[in-house]
Amino acid sequence: MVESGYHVLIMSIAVCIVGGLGSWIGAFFAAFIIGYAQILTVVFIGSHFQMVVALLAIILTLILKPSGLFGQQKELEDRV
Amino acid sequence: MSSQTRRKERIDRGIKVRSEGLYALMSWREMAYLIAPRFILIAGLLSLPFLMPGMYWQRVISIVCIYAIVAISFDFLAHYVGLVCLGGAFFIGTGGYIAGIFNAYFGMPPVLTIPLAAIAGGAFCTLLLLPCLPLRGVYFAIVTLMYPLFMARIIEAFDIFGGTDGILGIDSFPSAFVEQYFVVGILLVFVFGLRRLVTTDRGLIFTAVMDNDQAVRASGINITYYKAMAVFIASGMGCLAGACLTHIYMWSGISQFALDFSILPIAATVIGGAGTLVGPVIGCLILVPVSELLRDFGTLRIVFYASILVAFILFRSDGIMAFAKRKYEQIERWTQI
Repeated sequence: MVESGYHVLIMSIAVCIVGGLGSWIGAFFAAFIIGYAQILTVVFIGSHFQMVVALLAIILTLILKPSGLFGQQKELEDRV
Repeated sequence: MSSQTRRKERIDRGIKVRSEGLYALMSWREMAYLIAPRFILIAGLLSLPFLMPGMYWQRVISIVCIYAIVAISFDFLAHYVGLVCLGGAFFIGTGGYIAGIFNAYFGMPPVLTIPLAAIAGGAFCTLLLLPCLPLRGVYFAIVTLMYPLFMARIIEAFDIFGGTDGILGIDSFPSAFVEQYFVVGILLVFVFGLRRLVTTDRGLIFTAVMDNDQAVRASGINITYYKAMAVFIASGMGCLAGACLTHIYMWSGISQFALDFSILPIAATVIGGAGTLVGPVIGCLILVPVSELLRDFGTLRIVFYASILVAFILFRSDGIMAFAKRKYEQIERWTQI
């Protein structure tokens, strides 16, 4: 299986979700956040954890604040 | 104005109408009409291990059944509870690792590890998915798609449970015969069990949660409890399939969290017919052997495989089961407008 494509895909999904779907300003800031978080993780913890950060960011964002940092779709926030 | 002068009309067969309700019990012919499709499925699945030539194709039968169990769990969650769950690989991987750990590290036999993996794995998956249950639609799908990748990376990064090598030296089933009949039997129990479940009161609440969750909540029913119960049933089935897979391959590793286990069941559900619970089984019975047959083409395999999928979605988008059901229950004829 080709792994390199998934790497980029997961990174871009992580940036979109953390920034908020439908908000490109959010994507701009989230790209910095995810990028710095990854580099800091690689420097201080280990290179194995590089992808763990992105995946953890997706999962935690969707659990805690599904609309992301700058998301417009507030109807996601209402808990069923 | 359209220039059409004739159209196709569909009318229910007489025997289909006669065999609805209790009156079907009055004649052998109508009972046979009702029993025939179910009998073909059961007898066909049970005779498959005899019909297959050689060890290789018998092993394919076991893999078909494992994919089919994951596919019906996807179908149940997506079309009866309204949770589009792409976490087939998450269930398979969790069940596989739990079975592997208890077998290799604690020396339990497969008789104990498989039920244990189903229950403990189901509880584990439900616990991890519990915070995501309020999410709807594509957001739940994204979270469940990310969990298997996340688990694989965690195992790789912390180098636990054998790391990238996986857990080796797991017991196999006593014989190939036991292995095939175990998975076929489990599959049949799950198909008919789920069909029964969705018609009970509980199944009614599941369907209501899919249609309008706010109305269910307004009726004083705890939605999260029922969603969690549905996820526990589906993930328990997936984990059981994963445990069987581990014992078949005598190995559990990161590739059990591969996306194949999430994607192929969905493709099978689309081909077989969504929301029918039998459709996914038929879809797996077609897709997995086709994928094996195409191995002769080498790298072109994915091209042929994708073409078959696209052709199915273009020409039979409602699935084989819907088509077969229509042919079985209705007559078609052209009428003048």
